[in-house]
Amino acid sequence: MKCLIPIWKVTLITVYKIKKGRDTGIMNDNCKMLKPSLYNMLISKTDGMAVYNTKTGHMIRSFDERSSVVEQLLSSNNCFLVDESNDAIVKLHKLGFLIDNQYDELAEMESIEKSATFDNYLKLIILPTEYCNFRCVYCYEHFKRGKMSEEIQKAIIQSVEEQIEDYDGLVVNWFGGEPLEALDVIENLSLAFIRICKNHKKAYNAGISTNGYNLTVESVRFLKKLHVTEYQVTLDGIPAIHDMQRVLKDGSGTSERIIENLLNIKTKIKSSAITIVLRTNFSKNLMIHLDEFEELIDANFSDDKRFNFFWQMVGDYGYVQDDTVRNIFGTKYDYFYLVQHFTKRFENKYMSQLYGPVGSVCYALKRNAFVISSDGIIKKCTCDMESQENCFGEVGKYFDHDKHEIWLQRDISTNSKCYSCIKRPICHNKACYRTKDCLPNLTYIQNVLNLMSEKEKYYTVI
Amino acid sequence: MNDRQYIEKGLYEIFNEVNIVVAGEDDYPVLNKEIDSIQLISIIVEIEEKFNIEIPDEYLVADFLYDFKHVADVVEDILNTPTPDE
Repeated sequence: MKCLIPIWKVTLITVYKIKKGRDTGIMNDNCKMLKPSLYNMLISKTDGMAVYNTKTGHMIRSFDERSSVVEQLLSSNNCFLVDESNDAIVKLHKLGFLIDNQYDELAEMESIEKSATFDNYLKLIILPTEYCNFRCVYCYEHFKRGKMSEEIQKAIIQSVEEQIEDYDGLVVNWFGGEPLEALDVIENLSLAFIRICKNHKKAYNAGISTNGYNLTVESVRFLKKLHVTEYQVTLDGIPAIHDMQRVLKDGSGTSERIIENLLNIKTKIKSSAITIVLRTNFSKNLMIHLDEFEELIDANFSDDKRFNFFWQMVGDYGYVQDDTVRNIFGTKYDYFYLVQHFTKRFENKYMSQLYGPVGSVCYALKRNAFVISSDGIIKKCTCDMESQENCFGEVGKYFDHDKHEIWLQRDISTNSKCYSCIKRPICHNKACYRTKDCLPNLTYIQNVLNLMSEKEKYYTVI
Repeated sequence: MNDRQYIEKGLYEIFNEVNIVVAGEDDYPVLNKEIDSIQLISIIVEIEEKFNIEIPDEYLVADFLYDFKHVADVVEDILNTPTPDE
């Protein structure tokens, strides 16, 4: 079941270069004048300073007296000549903290936002069924449509076959309803996608957003053969809270079986290709049991790097069906409390990607990402499934390009607060189509970066 | 074909399937282009399936796939490591 949170729900798989390098004003040999990037975020430390560049995702640390040199280089409004003998300048230039003087980063942002592509993978969120074995108290779904027909599956396969050559590859996220209730559909489509991608020499990878109730070791082994490697499973806190919020259709609890499944996967499957994101939808109920929940996580999952944690507040983003549910919603102050007191939970590989370049851009606002519901309707957002505003076509039949184009364009005017925002490369004003406000997660980015700057794996020493 | 040749042939095929050409000196061939995270995971899954192995996290150094010989070594090493049941 899906919670009432419209961001980062199913975007498990993000694409990033193993070796970074594109034209971002860095390392142009013809240019010998440099200036600081607009997107350097300075973080004061007791032993020096850290700087995070939101456009490149690089972080640097400098210590003691060296810090003042770096700070001066990065805070200068004047451009200066490249000095190959100055190690600090060379490194800052290479990592994008200093850029070519002629380079226009604002124009780069505008170009990226206009194209709305971000990477060249075809990304499909497919709902093999909209049936669900859960009835979570905060769920916004209507369960109107059942399992995907063979006819629609064939239309999807044909559509992928026709389009794949335009892309570097295909990324699928299996969503629902509960996708494991239609494992045969996942198998059929996956085998076709793998075949198509191999024939066209393209990469293929998939993730799944599942409630975890039927996520056994056997099912993970089966799914991995189908290139399903990223699993998002929701655990809403300690069992007593989880079992109040995430229940079967008959109202019975689900935590015991989910935790047992996760522990079996952790113990019996050693593949590093597998990643599991344990998502927690924080409600008011859980806020007074945070220490207990931390103990549960630490005792069971923290020792396995394949497990990542994603903490989010349950809130009303306009999809509430039952007013009584509002009593458990958290506020932005609750979220701030979480970040302040449990910052380490916000520092992991998964979260650092979300705070990285383009990390907070919602899939729904990307040109190359589509949702295909079980009845074959093409949509963009998985939260607003019943809205006509969110329907763009029907797979194999038609696609409304004009409507799609309007949906993608969210211009940032020069007098907008987003225009000169230091976090613009992270969200591009595309974090959620329903709001133009800055999301809480980004409001507290400094707290998370501050913690990341304590760990060597995240930074380069200048 | 010995085990090493079988491993290297299988790896060449897997890289080729995602359009990554292995090039360089014969003894130490390297991949000829950048790869992204999707290709990386796709390749690892294919390696695991082809050789019926699981590659644990400790083998995945940052540039794991940039050194073809290293990948072949890892596969060979895992294949030669007895499982707890053996």
